[in-house]
Amino acid sequence: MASSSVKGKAPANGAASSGYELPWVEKYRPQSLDDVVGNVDTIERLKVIAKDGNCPHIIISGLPGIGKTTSIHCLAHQLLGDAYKEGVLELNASDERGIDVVRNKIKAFAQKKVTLPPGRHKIVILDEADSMTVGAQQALRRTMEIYSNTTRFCLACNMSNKIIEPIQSRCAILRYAKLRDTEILKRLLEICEMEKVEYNDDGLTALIFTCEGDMRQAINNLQSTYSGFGFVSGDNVFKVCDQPHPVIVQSMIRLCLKGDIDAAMEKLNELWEQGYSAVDIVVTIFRVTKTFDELPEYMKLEFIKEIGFTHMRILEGVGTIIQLGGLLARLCKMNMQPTLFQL
Amino acid sequence: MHAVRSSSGSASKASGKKTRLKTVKLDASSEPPNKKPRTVIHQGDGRLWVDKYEPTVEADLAVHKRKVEDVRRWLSEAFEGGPTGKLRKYRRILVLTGPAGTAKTTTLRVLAREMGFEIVEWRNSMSERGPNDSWMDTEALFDKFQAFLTRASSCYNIFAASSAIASTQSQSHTQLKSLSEPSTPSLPSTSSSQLSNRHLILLEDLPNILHLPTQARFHDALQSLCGSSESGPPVVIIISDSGLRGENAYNDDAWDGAGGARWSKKETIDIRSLLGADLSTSPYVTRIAFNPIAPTLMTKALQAMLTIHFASTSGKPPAKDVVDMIVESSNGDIRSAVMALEFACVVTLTKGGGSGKTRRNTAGSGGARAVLEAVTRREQSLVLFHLMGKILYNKRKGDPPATHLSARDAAKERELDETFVDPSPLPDFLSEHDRKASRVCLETIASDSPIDSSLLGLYIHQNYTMFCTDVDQCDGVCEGLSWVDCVGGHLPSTTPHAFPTLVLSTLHALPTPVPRKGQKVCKPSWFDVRKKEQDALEGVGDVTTWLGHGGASEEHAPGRWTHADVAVELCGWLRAVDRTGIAQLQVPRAHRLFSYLPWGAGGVGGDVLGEDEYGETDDVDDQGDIRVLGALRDEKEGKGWWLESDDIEEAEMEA
Repeated sequence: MASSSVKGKAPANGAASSGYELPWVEKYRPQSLDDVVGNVDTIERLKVIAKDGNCPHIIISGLPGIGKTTSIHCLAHQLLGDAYKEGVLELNASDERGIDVVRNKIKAFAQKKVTLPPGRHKIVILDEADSMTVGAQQALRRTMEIYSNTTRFCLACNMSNKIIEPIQSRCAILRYAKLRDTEILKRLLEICEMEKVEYNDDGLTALIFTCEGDMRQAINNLQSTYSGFGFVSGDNVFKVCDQPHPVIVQSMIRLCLKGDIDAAMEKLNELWEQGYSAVDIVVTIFRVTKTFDELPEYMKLEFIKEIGFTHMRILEGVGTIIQLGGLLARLCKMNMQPTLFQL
Repeated sequence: MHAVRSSSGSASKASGKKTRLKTVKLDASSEPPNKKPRTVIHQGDGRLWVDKYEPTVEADLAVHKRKVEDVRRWLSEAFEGGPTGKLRKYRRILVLTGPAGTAKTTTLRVLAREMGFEIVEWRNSMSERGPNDSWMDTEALFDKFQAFLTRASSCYNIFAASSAIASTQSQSHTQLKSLSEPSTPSLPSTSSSQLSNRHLILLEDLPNILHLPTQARFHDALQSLCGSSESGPPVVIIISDSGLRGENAYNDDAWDGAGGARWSKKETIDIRSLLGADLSTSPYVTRIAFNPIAPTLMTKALQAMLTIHFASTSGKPPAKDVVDMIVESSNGDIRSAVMALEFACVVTLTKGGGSGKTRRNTAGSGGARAVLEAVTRREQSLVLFHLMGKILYNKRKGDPPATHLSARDAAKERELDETFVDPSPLPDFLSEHDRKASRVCLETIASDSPIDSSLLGLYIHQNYTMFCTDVDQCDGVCEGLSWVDCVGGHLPSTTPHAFPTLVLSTLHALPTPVPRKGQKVCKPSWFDVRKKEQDALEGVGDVTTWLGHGGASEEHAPGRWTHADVAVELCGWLRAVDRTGIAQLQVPRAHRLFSYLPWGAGGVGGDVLGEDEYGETDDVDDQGDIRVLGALRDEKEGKGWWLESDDIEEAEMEA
């Protein structure tokens, strides 16, 4: 949703002012490793590699939107400079990467002679490497070894255990941790500064809540909110992201804690009438619950269990408001005197 | 080009070969062979350490001596026929298996160098004429492979030393490119023509076995290789088995809780799919399984490497504890250890080095550790240790500081406690569930966790009893585990409920504070059990095949025996046959994998996490079927050292 609205709106808005406007994700993509946000220690190492050359094979794994591809690109740019075009072969999941590509294209690239500064190597970037088939990975494994003196491989993937072990063994595995909220906030503020975006704190909080540690999503949402409404406030962000407003959900949970089922159902109806699907609502309930500090540990645990149970039913196809109502009722009941239910 | 080459190196030889190839093309004779190593090192600064410091003599290998000896014996039997000279016939195919990075290829190359034979290697490639050539290559890849096999086994290298030139000019589809050993100073050059007759075929870059027709043809090709003359060169196949370390154990889509051993069958290359049922039990095939490298050997090798490296370059070698950490987290994979070491040496660890203390909780090495964690984190490494420690010790606000903590740390802990808000009390009818604020932050634990919820569940399940003080607590933990299995199993793996539920329910159920009794966090025994199960399944498969072919009397007609029948009903008979030793029946030995099921007390506890589970005590190779023995031997694995419980606590404190 978020990204599509970027594509839809950003150019339209930009057309008035300055022709085509790049998505901010691209516009503010870090160009050097210094700008990459988060994972300080690991990036510090990459910087040294970028300076000294001799990059080992690396696998960077981590969640989406935490700068894996970006840091590989930065690394390659810093290593190869002007020779980037010639010295880098990039393949991502949208390219064909079957066995024959590994055997032909990658091999041919590895055999190609490119004039590079001393101590530098050609780089093969395999983005989303975990989507490569096992066969292709098997074929890759020997190639990596044979040409390692001229060509280095940089793999990015979400789950490093989807990469076969022989390849893992040939690489230094760097695991990127999830970005902290403060790190995302800092970057968002920078962009707001540069784009002269008007915002309030509520809006930024909302952006961070909705992005779940995914920088790309955060920036996309920022841009869509800005181009849609011209002002980044909490309400606008949730409208753009099309998610149930967590504040409503939060008050709903609070009411459940008090055992006030009527008021809680009212809130639920409010959300339902805004047109959110059962999945949207249950996911938001879960996320709010998980981070809701007012809940005592036991309550949080029991709530999560109930929510998970409801989620399962919804995914099985019963996405009705009755399921959500039942969830709320169970949550309320948990907080009411058990004696009330005895006959 | 699918170069067929011979060389003595391995991974590194890739690079070695490259340079050699280049020089050969220009002028083959101008470079004296024994100069080569120097030039390589000189210009080789761009090479990876893995290549640069590859062992070249047996003494440098980090493999256990006995393994090397096994391979050496097999090779000499294959070339010379052993003491009686008759063994040669049966030394046709050697399969080296083992996890990735256990020096399988390197061992072979080192032996090639020492024993003086050539390695002719198959490499896949689609078109050898370069990608831009419009000329279509009509020959199927597999045909090339077959042609390679026949030619490699029937052709000899007639141009001993100078063949490199000849082969680069050759235009044939399947070139036998033999770069004979210019870099082996130990070999007298006069004997090279005689020695070059001793070569073996190395299959490492296998055809696409996952494709079933290809697999069938591959089996046929190998089969014919076995059946034919004795004169062909022996074949060595190297397979890295995956998953046995437990890292790939869970495929998200495959984990349905009951799928058993069958899920990974299609996706992995193992000895059975590679050789086919017939061949893998035939006497022509020997299997030698490499174990993960033992930490002591690896530490020694890494230290030696560092000594060499820092003798030639400036800079300070990393502290000993850094090496220890790398070894610890490398999980027996020496290649990844070297990779990690190289990465770690990129920056001189100013923080970590020079503190001079070996205790790991010195402030300095904490920094080094943080860096290394990012580099070497793998599923069973220290991070997992932190995680389990954090969860299982269940520390909460106001807990008395543990006895081993210094006053400063205790103060820090108290400070930390100040920041926690007391949770609002539960309604009085739930007051038994009131807990103090936990020191564990659910959010950070989830984002830092190296494992997913199903693996976490396994670990908790393996270990929770040690940390509980009464049955109700056990019940609480189990309740959580069971919920996750039951409900979480139905949810797609991307839904995030399982992880917080597991953590919260475990924390909630455990006593607080957890009494310290020197608990040791263990690796789930599930992995071992699963491995055994797979082995047993293979055994059943072997017996079924045997029933189909071998002892084929009428009532043993195939189809009447299902796997379950064989496993449940036939095993008694198999044992009886085994005991009476009726030789003409030729029951496959693999049946012992399921017909003998000894009570293994050791199997219950699992291995201590972070422990070296790859002892060196396991090599008792008698003559005969090494594979079966290898599998039966597992229970005897020695227990190595384990981490002190202190370490767990430390780990908690740091995070």
